[in-house]
Amino acid sequence: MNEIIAEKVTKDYGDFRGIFDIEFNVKKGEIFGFIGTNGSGKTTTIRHIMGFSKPNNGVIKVRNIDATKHSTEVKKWIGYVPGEIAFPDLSTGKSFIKSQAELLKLKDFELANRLIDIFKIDLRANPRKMSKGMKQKTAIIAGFMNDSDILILDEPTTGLDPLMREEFMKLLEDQRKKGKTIFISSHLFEELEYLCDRVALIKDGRIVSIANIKDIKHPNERKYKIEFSDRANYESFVKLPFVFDNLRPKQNQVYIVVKRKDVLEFIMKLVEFDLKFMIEVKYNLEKYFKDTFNYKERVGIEL
Amino acid sequence: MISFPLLKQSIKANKNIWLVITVATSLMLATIIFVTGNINVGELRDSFTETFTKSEIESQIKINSIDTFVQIDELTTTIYPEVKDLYDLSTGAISTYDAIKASGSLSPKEDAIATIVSETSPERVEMVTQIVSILLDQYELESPDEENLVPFKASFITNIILSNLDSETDEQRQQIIQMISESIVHAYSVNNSLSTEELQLISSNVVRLSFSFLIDQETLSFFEEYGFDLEEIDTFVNSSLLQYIALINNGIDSESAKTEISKSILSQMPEEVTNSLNEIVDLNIDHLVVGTIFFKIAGLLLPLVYVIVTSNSLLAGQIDSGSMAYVLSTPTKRKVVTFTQITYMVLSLFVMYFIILIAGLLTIKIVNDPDLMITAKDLSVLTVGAFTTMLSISGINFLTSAWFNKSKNATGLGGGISIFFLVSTILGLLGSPVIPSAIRIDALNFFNYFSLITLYDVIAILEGAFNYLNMAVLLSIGITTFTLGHIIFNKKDLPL
Repeated sequence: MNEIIAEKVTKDYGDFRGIFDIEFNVKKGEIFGFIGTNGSGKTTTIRHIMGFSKPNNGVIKVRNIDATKHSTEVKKWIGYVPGEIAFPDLSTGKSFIKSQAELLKLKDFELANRLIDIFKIDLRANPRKMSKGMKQKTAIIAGFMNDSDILILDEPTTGLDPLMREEFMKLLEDQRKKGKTIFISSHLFEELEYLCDRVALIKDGRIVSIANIKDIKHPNERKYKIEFSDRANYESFVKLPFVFDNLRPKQNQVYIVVKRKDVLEFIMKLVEFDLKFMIEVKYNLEKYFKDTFNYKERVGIEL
Repeated sequence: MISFPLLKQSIKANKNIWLVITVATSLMLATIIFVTGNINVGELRDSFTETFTKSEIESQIKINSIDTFVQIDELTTTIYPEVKDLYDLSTGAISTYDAIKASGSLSPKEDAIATIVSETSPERVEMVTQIVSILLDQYELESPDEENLVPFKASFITNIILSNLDSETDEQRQQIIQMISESIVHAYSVNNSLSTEELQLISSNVVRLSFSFLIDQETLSFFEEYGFDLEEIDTFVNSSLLQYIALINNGIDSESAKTEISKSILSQMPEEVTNSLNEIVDLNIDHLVVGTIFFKIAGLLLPLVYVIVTSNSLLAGQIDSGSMAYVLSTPTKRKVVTFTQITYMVLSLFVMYFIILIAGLLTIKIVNDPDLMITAKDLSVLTVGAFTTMLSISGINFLTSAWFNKSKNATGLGGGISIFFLVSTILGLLGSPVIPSAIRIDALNFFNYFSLITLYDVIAILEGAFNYLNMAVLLSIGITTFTLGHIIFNKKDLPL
C-alpha cells in the first residue's frame, strides 16, 4: 500500500528551475530517500507534499488524499522536520515545544520527554540563539513527538555531530520497526544507503533514477581489483576465460567482474597465482547512480 | 475559527514592542494634556486677545455714542423751534403781565391775555389763550424772582412739550426730551438765538448725560470687565462726539465720519493682517495640539511603527524565516492562521487605544482645569477615530505582509505607504486651516489629499461633528485589506 504518491508533479519557476514530472511512491513502512545536490528540487518536492505549494501539473497524494487540496487533512498523519530551521519568536525552546504540542493538540508528552532525553537538549535556551545542532535537535523533537505515521524529514542530520547523528539513525530504525513511513531527503549517500529501502536521485528538478538499496548491497556480481607480483603471472591470468572489466598491463593490474555463484571457483583459480594484493571493489549507491547517470548520458537520454 | 496556541504565540512574540509603544503613547498623550492644561501656552495669545477686545469695545462705544448723538441731534433740531416759540411767548406774556400789574389794574391776568391775544394771528388765538392762561396762573402762584425766572420758564415749556407728546412715548424718551428742552431754554435765554453748532453741543451734552442709562446693564458690566469705568467711557463718548461734530461741520457725511472715528486697531490694518491676527486670537491650542498634533501625528507615529513591525512579523516575517512551517505542519488551516493573526492585530490595537484613552481620561481628571477645552467625550471620540484610522492602516500592512514572502518587500511597501501617509499629514498640517495663516504654507495643504489620515477629521470631531461617512470609509478600507490579505495568503505558494 502506498502512503505517498507523486504523479507527474511539475512546478516550473522559470529559468529551468523547479521540479518536472516528479513521479514516485512511498510504501507503508518504507524509508524512502531523496538525494540530490543543493537546489536540485528536494525541498520543492517536500513543499508540495506538505501542501505549501500548488503544483502546475500533476498531483501528490498522501494516503490517497490530494495533499494540495486537503493539506490540513493530510497533516494529521504527518510529522515534519523542515530543512530551514527557524523557530517562531518565543523565549525558550520549551515554550516552542509546548506551543507546537498545543497546535498538534498533543496530550501525551512521554515521547517528547524521551526524545529530549536522547538528544540531551537544554530547552531553557532561546531557540533563536541556539547552535545549529541544537536547533536541529529541537526541530527533530517537534517533528517526532506526535508519533505520526508518516515522517517527512528535510535534511534532518545537518548540523548534528557524529554522536547525535548515530542517535538519530537509531531513532529512525526504531520508527521503521514501529512501521512508520519515512520520507527523508539528504545530500549524503552513505546516510541514505545505510537507512533507506529505496532512494530517488533528483537532479535539476527531475528524478533521474530510483535505486533499490537491497540490490546495491547484495549485487549479483562482485568486482575485484588484483595486482600480480610480476608480468608472467599477469599474462597467464588474463588468458583465463573471465570477464575483465579493465586491464592495466603496466601495473600488472586487472579489474574483474565475477558472478556471485562463480566466486568460489574464481578464488580457487587465484590460488595458483602469485599476487601482490587483491581487493573487492565495493559497489555503493553513489557508484550506482554514477553508473546509471553515465549510461543514460552515453545513450543520449536527456537529463 | 482561530487557533489559541497561535494567538498565544503572536502575543508572546509581540508583547514587548506592544507594551513599549502603548506606554510611550499613553505618556505622550498625558504629557500633552498636562502641558496644554497646566501651563499657559497662550500668554501671547491672551495679550493679543485683550488688546484687540479693548480696541473693539472702544470702537463699539464710539459707534454707539455717535448713533445716539445722531438721533438726539435730530430730536433737538425738531424741538428747538417749538421751544423758541414758547420761550418768546412766555417772555412776552410775563413782561406784559408785570407791566399791567404795575399800572394798578385789578385783573392783570385777563388784561395781559387780552393784550397778547390782540397781537396774535386769529388761528393761534385759542392755543395762545390757553397757554398764556396756564402760564400766568403758575406765575402768580410761584411768583419767581429774577433769578428763578429762567428755570421757571424752562420747566413750564418742557411740561407743555411733554404734554403734547404721543401718549405712547416711553419714559426714557420723555426724559431725553426733557433734558433737551431744558438745555435749549437755558441756552436760548442767554443768546436769544441758537446756531446749529450750539444745538449740536446741546445734543452732545445730552448724549453724555444719558449714555450711562442708554446702554443696558449687561453691556456696561462687560465693558467694566475689560477695565472700562464710566469716567473712561465718558471720555471716549466726549472725544468721539467732538470729532464727529467737527467732521460733520467740515462737510463730511455722517457715515464716513462715523467709520473714521470708530476705527479699531484691527480695522486700521490691512485685511490680511487683521485676519491672521484674528486667527491667532481664535486659535484653539487644545484643538491644535491635542487634536491635530497628537492624534494625527505624534500619537499616530508610534502605533504606526507597531503596526508596520507587527504586521510583518505575523505573516511575511514567518514565511521569510521559515518558522511558519511549524504552524502549517500541524493540522492548522491557513485560513485559521490568517484569521488568528487578524484577530491578534485588531485586538492588540484595540487594547492599546483603550489604555491610551484611559491614560488621557485620568490626566484630564488630574489636571482638572476648567479652561481645558478638550473634554472626556472629545477624547473618547478622538480615540475611536484614531483606532479606526489605525485599523485601515494595519489592514494595508497586513495585506502586504500576506502578499510578499520577503519581509523587506512587505515592510518596504506597507510601511512605505504608511509613512507616506504620515509624512503627507505632517506636510499637510503646515498648510491646513488649523495653522494660523501667518505661519501657514497654503500650498502644502495639497498633501492632505494624499493621506488616508485626512479622513480622520480631528477638527470636526472637536467641534462636535463626528463624520460617520469618513469613519465608514476608513473602516471599509480596513475590512477590505484584511480580507484581501486573508484570501491572498490562503491561495499563494509558500516557500517553506
